[in-house]
Amino acid sequence: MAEQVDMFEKLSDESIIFIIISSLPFKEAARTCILSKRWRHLWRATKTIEFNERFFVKGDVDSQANREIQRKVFVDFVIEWINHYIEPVVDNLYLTFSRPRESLTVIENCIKFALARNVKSLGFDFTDPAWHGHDLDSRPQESFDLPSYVYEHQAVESLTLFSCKFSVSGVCNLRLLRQLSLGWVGVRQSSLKVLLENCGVLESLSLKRCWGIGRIIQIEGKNLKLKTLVIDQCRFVDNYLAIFEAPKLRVFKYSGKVANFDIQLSTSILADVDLDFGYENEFSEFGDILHNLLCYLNPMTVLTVCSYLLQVIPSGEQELCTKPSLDVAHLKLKTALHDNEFWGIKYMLKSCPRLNTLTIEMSSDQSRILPDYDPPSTQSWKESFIGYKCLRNKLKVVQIKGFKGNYNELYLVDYVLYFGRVMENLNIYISKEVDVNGNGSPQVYLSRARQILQFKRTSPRLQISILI
Amino acid sequence: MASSTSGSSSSSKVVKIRSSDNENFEVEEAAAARSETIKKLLEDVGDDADVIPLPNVDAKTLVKVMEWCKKHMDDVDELNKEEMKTWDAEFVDMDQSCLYNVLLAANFLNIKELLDQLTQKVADMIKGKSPEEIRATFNIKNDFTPEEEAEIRKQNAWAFE
Repeated sequence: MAEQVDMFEKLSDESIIFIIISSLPFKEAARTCILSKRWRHLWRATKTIEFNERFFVKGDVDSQANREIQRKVFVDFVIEWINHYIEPVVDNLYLTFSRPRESLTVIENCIKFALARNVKSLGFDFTDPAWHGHDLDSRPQESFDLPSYVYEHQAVESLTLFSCKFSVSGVCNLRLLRQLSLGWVGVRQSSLKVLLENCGVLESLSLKRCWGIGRIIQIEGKNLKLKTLVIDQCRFVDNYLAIFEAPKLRVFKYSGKVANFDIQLSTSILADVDLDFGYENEFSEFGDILHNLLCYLNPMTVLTVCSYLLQVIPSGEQELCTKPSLDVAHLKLKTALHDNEFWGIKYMLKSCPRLNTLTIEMSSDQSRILPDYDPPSTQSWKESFIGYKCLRNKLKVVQIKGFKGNYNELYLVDYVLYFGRVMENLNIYISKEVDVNGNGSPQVYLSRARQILQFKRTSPRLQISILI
Repeated sequence: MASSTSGSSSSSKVVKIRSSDNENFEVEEAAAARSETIKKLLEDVGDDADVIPLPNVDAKTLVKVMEWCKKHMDDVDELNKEEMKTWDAEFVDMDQSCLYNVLLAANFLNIKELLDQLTQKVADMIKGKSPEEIRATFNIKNDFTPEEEAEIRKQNAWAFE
């Protein structure tokens, strides 16, 4: 039997433990204080600091007075913590205050504290939890101005500003800035242009819940080093134009409304693409726009698409697949496997002849199913649901997450087992949800999943795993 | 005798290093120089160096570390980065005593990127686990009394909710 040794016991040099603790999220680092006497205070040397009001102030506390007490405990904790910090360097500082105006001095002290310790990554989230809902039209006033001395601190490589007013020319001053994340602020197209022109080493740009961009968003430049672009629930005018021309792009995540996309990439392959049009709630014949978008982004290692895309993409001029076909290795579908989505599923399977892995992430959110859905054919989707090229030659792994064993789920499993000639793994992850009406529970889903073992399978190498 | 001399690039210079248990290794200089410690030793002794002794690293660990250095000898282009990531993830997937030895060696040999990968691996082994699970994973002995433990939990209640 192996000797039971405590690996950390032998690490007399605590500098290694400090690096490990600094790689943990702040809250998890704090939890190590309970491990043993030696660990009791080690976490206080972490170089990754996150002062987050929401760790202390709980939304479910009923009375305003109790929330005020919790907020005071939080602010006292912050003051005490930075007063006792003795390390010379801080790598990351992230502040979350929902009412920054009431704690201006504390916030400024935190910022000065981190800047004096040569901080590389700064994050400020001054949003109110109430703003995180579904309404894209709200434009809450930013309640904090980033102090101008931050812009003089050239070592900053990463900056996150949520509901925090900033100076464009100030940010341009940060010559080493590699990551910029803006949220809950007005950003003009002209500001974006200046930022992209001046932040020469910017590798990651994220816009979340931004407004004020107008009719056209243009992210382009021959010398752009941008590898990651995230546009998340920003407010644009309808049918706006989105022009992205980033030669080095590797990751593209888009969540929001359908735009007139014009994308030019010269990267050989995108590693990760995630498209979510959950903010569209009416059926429109956007099939061609979505078709072209996928063709612009092709080839992709991982492509994630939403329920809206599955329902709408068959509405285009093309017959039921993209032209040319897509080179996608791993396709992830966020779907309820509703009848409305199956034409889209057929479309995607037919369009991705080199598909190696198919992941179905089941959602029970029926609100994503469009009431005015118009199928591309009067036939049922079940007709001519044939074994497409990927199933004959390439598809090795299929996984279903959140499996409940309803009719369409079983139908799809039956289909891939029957037509999947080279399948190696089918992984079924049982849903943990308990149906409020008493019609479903993990036990029920599990017994439904067991039926799969009886299905006819074509591939001799197939292994089926059912995971709870 | 382990030797990691590459046959293909005959022009590249080879250096000799010796482990704490007196095994000699021949390694391409470009690979060995991933270690700031070895690089500095090489600069200090110049071309006269016979064998560079590494008194803190045993042969088994040194083989592992040099495997990493060889893989990371050249700059990789954008496309191969994904492949390299997979390789790195498999590399750090080792048993705990080995992980510990390579961690110490990376620290002593001053190979920052390797040290970052290994400390990240340990952090990932901690993430998402309860204190009890962390203790079990690393065989950490809980030397608090139940009263002391309750008191510390209370003091840091925000972190345990």
